[in-house]
Amino acid sequence: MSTQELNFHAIAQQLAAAPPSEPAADLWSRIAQAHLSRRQRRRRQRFAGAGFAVLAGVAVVLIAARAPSTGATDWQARAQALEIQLHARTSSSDGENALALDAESELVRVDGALQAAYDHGARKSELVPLWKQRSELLSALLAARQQTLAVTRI
Amino acid sequence: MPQDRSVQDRGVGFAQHVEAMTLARAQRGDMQAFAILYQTFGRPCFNLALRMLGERQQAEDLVQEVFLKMMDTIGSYRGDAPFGAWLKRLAANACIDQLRRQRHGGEEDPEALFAHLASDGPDAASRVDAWSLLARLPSRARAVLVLHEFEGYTHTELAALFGQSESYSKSILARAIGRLNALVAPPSSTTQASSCPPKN
Repeated sequence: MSTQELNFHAIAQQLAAAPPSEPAADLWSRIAQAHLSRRQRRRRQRFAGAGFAVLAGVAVVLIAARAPSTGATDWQARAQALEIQLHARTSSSDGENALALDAESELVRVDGALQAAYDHGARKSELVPLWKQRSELLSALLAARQQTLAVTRI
Repeated sequence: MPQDRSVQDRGVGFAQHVEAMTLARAQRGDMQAFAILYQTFGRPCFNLALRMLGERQQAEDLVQEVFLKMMDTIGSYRGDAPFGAWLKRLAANACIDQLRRQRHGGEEDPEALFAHLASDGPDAASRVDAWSLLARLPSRARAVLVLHEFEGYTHTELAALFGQSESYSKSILARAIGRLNALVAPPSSTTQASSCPPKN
């Protein structure tokens, strides 16, 4: 064994035999406090994230719920569907009551307004109320014709 | 006596045994279980950090960093290795990361690592104190020496930890031992001892 190895051997022995050092007595309480603070911060972030997700969900639901009442396409489609039903009823009905006649004349007026609106390149905000009105008139007309049909059968 | 045997089986340092129940509770985030783990491994972890980093405050900061990380990641501990070995690996990696943050350049080259050391030798009192001698080594050399000589790391493992080759680790270790020998040698023979070629 060389002198170098002997020297290092002595150093290593001394280091190995040295009593272990003690960390500060309050180190664990500092670590525990830091851990709890981090956990609380993460929990708050999670709650904030969950709250944001709920708000986003509510916003989506509200937008979806509002969409049919303001969307021109829905009213238009509904009006077209009612029109098909109305034609089916017309072919099988024998007469018209006063309510139906009123609705029909109003429908003619709304159709004219719609045609004029399309002719002058009206905006969606102008078209939607007309389509809604047309849809409601068709519903009323359909109900009136259904009532007439029921009376005729009795 | 069963109690004596249990104490004997508990081991020392990072080799201490941890009950499976304690680990399971720690994995559920139980603070009391974490406190038991700290009581068991806080001191070995602190001593490893102190030997590698050389300063008490830095060593305590590192113990805090390691235990916070352990509390976050204990869920990923699967029991493939003893818990103490897993924690020691966390601590060693944290020490090496700390040394990387402190690096001043030129540490990739073993020659450069020892080039800027103070040429004056320690006084008579420091010459017989192993801790003082260890503190006079460059931090990276001290880390290699502590991990290899006292914690049982192989050169292959050290190479992986430091992201260097095995020959780098061997060269650093040989120079660190040479440097320590030069420091403890009597002043008349210091020049001769420090000029010895590194042992691989």
